[in-house]
Amino acid sequence: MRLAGARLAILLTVCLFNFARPLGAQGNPIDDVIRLAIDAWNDLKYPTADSIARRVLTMQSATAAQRSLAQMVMAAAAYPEEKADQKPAVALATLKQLLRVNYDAKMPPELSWAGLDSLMEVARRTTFGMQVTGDAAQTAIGVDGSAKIHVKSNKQGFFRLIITAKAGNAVAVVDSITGTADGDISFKTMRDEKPIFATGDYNVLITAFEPGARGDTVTTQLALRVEAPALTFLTVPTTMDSTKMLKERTGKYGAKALLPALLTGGAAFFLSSQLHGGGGLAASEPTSIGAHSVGAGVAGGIVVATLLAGFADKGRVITANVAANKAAGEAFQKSIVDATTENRRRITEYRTVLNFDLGVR
Amino acid sequence: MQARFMCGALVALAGSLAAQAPVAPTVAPKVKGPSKAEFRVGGIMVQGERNYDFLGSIGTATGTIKGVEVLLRGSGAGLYVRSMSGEFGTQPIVVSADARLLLGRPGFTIFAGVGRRGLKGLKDKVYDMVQGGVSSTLSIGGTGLRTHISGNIILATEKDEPGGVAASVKNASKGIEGEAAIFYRLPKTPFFLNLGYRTEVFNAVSGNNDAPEEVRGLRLGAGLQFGGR
Repeated sequence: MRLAGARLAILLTVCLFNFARPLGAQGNPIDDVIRLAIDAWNDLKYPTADSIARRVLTMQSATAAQRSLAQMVMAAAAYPEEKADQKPAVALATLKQLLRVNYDAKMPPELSWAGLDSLMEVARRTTFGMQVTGDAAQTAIGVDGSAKIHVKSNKQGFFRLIITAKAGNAVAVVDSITGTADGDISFKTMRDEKPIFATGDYNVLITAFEPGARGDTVTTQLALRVEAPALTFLTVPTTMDSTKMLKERTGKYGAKALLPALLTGGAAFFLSSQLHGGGGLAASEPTSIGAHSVGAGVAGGIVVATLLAGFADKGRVITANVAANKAAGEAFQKSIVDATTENRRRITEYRTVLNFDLGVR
Repeated sequence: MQARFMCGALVALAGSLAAQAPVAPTVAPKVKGPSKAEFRVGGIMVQGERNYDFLGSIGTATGTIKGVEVLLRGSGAGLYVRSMSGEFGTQPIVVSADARLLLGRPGFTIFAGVGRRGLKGLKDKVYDMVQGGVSSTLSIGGTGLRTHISGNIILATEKDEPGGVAASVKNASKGIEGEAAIFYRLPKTPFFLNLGYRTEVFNAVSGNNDAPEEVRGLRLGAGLQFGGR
């Protein structure tokens, strides 16, 4: 007894030393502690085996398997073959506690005996137990990308999953399934095309409700590490810069038409009244035919028509500028399409990596 | 004197080109003015009179000149061809055809050309002629209306003039032709209409005789035009 206590003290010291070291450098000291408890049980030192096994449950770094095994040692220590040492109520309670979160657990052969196996079956029949499994590393891609946790129980029940951020306790995901004893709780990692998660640590709380008025409730908690980089978008342009648009027409001609009107009309008048042939047709000759009366009317018509056109003018279309503005408009539309397409691509290719610690606490 | 006046008017009109220069864009491309390539083909009709001095006897007759003209020009050069035939009462039929090489932009163009002019009557007379002048065509904004002025001097010799080249040069016939018109191109179509006034004075020299004449009248035209807005 004293020797076992000394070995336990040494092992616990080793455990503490190992906890302070990086995870990758750890050996298997908790297994050694459990081995010590089993050895004590084999030496018929049931209280010692129970005491050592209970210490495992207090170790934060103990895995689910180690905890289960420690609980089995505790149950075996409470229900040995020696009748005098049997405490069936304690053993049954321990087994029920074990089966609640690991209802499929099997007693290792070295601890097993007929009476304990019978008690295990009794516990299994009378306990609402759940088991949580799944892929430890999962990657969800895009808006439809999802992760899932597999839940299984020995009775049909209602299962609810709540994921909360460790920092701030903000609820990220709530999901559930019902009316089944074996199913997946799937949850998407994007909502409204935005990531639900940010990079960080989360708690995954899974609660199983046994149906019925006297139904039991089992809760399991997992640690979750999420790698979710910030999803940034390109700015989609909404308005064109009107200052960069080119004028599509020249200015109105307006009063500028006065000069060509007068010159052209004046030329017509001149041609009809002042330009004469030589000889007897010359203006200086009394035989000159003189002005052609039609000319004045034509000249007037030219002046009036030119002035009217000038003042009615809306400007000449600058084809090159129209084309340039059209090209600018098309480039603007393209920039919208490009930015939208790129943002869509970023959404559809967005990756959320989830690392579940499936060691049930 | 009259020719100098017309030339001065044309130069002044060309000066107004600056007033219709398009607004410079804030970025490329550069805006181009109305100097695009142009092809125009159309019929012309001059409704007017022919006045003449034949051996001191002054006469006048009304009539019509009909013809066709073709213009093909780029931004710096072009070609103009015209053929006309006019009948004025009982006077000889006036037939002419000429071709001109155009240099410069529409706003101010210098041209030179050759042609043949003939009188078809009791005795046919045919003159070979050279000519040179200036013209100006201005667009009135984007309305499709253009003003046009042209003036040119004609030197001609009678074909088969007795006495050879020396006599031909010595007895050269001289003339002046002027036009002032507006061209209106119908919106969204290649059709144009033309209204103006045309005067041609010509002093035909044949041997020792001068035969001054002036043909003038309302000029109307229509046809097809591509480019040149």
